[in-house]
Amino acid sequence: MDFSPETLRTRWSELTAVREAADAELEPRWAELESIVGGTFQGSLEVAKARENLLRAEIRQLQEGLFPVEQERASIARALNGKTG
Amino acid sequence: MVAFSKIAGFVERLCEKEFNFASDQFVVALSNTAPGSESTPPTGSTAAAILANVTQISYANLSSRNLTTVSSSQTGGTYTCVFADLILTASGAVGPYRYVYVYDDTATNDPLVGYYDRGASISLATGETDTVDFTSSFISLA
Repeated sequence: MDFSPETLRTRWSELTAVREAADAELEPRWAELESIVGGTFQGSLEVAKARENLLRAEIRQLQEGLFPVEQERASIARALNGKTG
Repeated sequence: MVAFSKIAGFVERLCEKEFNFASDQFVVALSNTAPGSESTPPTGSTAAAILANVTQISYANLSSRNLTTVSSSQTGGTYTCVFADLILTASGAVGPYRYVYVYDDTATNDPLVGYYDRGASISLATGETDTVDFTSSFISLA
């Protein structure tokens, strides 16, 4: 296998794109969750509770998929001594 | 990275239902000011254990500081929360910073959990990364 710095940096960029796509999915959910927890959610308590439960389940699922990506990114960053750019 | 230091007020907040480690948004905050030297040290009272009492650096040139919760579960009565390692990437000058705090961005007032002291201040240049290694478990409650 090719473990040259160039190849590792290419892989790093691919994985970072995956991470950024996941962040784009997570951010609006966390923002809505924060509005529910902070009491600024527009809706009844019952609706807010149901929405919170759904958001938390979705967040957990999204983060599970991100774990191998983050671990590989960390490994590459260490291999490159932090010089990923 | 040296040992993790728990923020004293965290334990009270934890037992008073402020955190959900499974799905709240946990984030790191970076500071170059020693916790005990803050005007209101976050290491003191429970009320002080919030992000507003941390002097943060600028994040203009830094990648996402969001943590990824790998697992949040119990086995045999011992609860464990695991975070994936976080890779901070600079797109310009970042720092200097020495203290890496973890806080809950979802909970009201962004309560602090604890911090790592890197032992010395570091700075990042464009394209450089700093990996925050969370080892095998971030929190364990037996």
